[in-house]
Amino acid sequence: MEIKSTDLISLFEKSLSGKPDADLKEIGFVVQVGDNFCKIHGLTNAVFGELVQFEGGNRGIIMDLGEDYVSVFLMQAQTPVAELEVAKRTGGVFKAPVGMGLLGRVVNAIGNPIDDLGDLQYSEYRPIEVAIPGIVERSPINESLETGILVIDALVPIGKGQRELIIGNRGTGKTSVVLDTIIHQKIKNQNSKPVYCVYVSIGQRQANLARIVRLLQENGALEYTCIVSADASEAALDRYLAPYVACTIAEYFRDQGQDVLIIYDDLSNHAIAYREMSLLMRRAPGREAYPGDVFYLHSRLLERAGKLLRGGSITALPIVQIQGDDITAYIPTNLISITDGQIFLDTKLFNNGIRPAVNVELSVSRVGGAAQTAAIKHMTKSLRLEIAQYQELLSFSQFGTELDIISQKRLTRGALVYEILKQKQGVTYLFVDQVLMLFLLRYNFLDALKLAEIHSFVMQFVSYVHSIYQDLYKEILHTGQITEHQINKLKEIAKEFSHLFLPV
Amino acid sequence: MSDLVQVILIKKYAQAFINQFIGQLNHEEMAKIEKFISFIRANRQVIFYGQLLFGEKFIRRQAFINLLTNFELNKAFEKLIILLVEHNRLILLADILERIIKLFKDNNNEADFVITSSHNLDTRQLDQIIKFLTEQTGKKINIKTIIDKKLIVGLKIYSDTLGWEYSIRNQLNSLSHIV
Repeated sequence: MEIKSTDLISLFEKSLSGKPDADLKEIGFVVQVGDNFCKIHGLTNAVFGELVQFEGGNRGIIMDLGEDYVSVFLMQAQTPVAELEVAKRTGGVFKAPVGMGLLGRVVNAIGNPIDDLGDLQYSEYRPIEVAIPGIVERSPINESLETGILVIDALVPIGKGQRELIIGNRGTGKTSVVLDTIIHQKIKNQNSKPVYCVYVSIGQRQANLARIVRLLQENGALEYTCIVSADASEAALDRYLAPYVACTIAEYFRDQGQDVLIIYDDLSNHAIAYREMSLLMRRAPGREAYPGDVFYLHSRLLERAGKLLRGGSITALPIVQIQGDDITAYIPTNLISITDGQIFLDTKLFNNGIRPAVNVELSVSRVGGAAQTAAIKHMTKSLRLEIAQYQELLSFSQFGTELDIISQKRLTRGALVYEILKQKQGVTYLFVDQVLMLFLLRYNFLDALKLAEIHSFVMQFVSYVHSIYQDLYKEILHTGQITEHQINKLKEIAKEFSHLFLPV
Repeated sequence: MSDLVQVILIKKYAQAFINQFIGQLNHEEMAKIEKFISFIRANRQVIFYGQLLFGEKFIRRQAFINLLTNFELNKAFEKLIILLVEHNRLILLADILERIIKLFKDNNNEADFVITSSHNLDTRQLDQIIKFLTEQTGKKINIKTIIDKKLIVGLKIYSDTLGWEYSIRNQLNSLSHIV
């Protein structure tokens, strides 16, 4: 960083002319230090969560209060702290910078920019732990948050203000699903009230984050997104703080009346960081060596999402990684009980080429149809049942058992459903496009086609309606509903298109 | 034994002693204890031999009690010595006695401060500092002065729980962290 000599002189002047503090500060002495953690003897009146300033320039947060010492986690791993170094109380808690200027920026867990785009244009500093809005201040969730992913919007719909957990083994496409959701908001932001996005990367590789930033940049999604990063090389404190800092940033946007989407990728690493900190503080380990308050760690974070009566909402998509498809592990079950539903990404489905690998049977949205666009709701009335029937019959078909005609039809139908629900990474659909696709499925316009032709038929049909029948398309887009008259019209269009279709 | 465990033990022994014998202590006694502490720190082998495991505990106890008598210390300290020999923690003696002095001063609403300055302070300046500290703490202030040229210009005032610094060195350090 280049510093002009005039800047230095003014810094010196300011420092030298500054008046001294009028009061004695309470101090303590470091008695033990190591692993970005130290114990300070003294500071008898310190409070939990208080910020402490060290003589050597480092800062720390008090995370444990003992009779004779306090435990402090250091915020700057690169600034050494020596034994017997003096530490002073600052009298305040750790605060994160917030403001509209954070959109398009990548910051670390303590709010410093790491994207080489200059200083952060923040509006204010806010504490990262706040009182959560009560029941009276909240509004029911009745507005859809489109992800652009057909299987999610159709079968596991997410509403603005909902918490929907994304759970799956490694390499099943959890991050891809959320990135597609962020990118899809670009299209949505052009037609309606914008949704701002906050993406928290916890304990991920730096290469992963670089790839994500580049992807969002290339798709024009970074301009409405703020990224908070605490990668795997950062100290445990940074990985612990990052989701709270991100939520504080999201709350600022919400308080401006905006809708916000926040993604925590992933909370398993967050729990691991908290476990590391708790074990260093010698707290009694519980199940899987996690501390007893690991549930509270996540519940107080996720309860900050919601839709408010005064306007604004925070929709949370926490991600949790499971081992060996075991969703009964400690942290995943905690998160399942906290959130308003889960999207389970199945390894078997992924390996069989069904992507996104959403296991519809294990996935649920507790908000459900209340947050779904009326048009899509109409088109998906029997979809879940068809999938369930297909899955039930699939095991029989694998044994080579002779099935009756009805069962064979159900199997064909199920295969059709799965084929239409497949979606490439980076490709998202507006809800109108989804309505048209599901319309074709519901009213059996795809039955005569081969599986390999389904996608091209559907895409061409959507394009056909969009370009030739623009009025109908815009009507559905603006109203969000579909009438009987429109359905009849679409049936005619579909028949017309069927004669024109040429498989690619 | 880790440093932290030692610190805790020292505090506990000292607090227990104060709780029992505070009524028998006075400032003269504290001055004698300070001399005793200086002696122990200058003659560490005394503690070393006292810690040796061979020999009767009674003999070790008696040796230290005789030492206490030479320094004309209160009989209450004999009980402390007996306890430490029993627990094989004579090595903590000097620190425990220092802690006892501190607790005694706390009890008598006194506070010790070390004033480090870049230059010699005159009586008027020292009086001003004492007045400032008295107002801040509400205690009777005992000061010790040290000259440290490394401050460049300014003052540093510290006790074991409170601190105040205004010096060029401190400000330059702060600047270096920013820059």
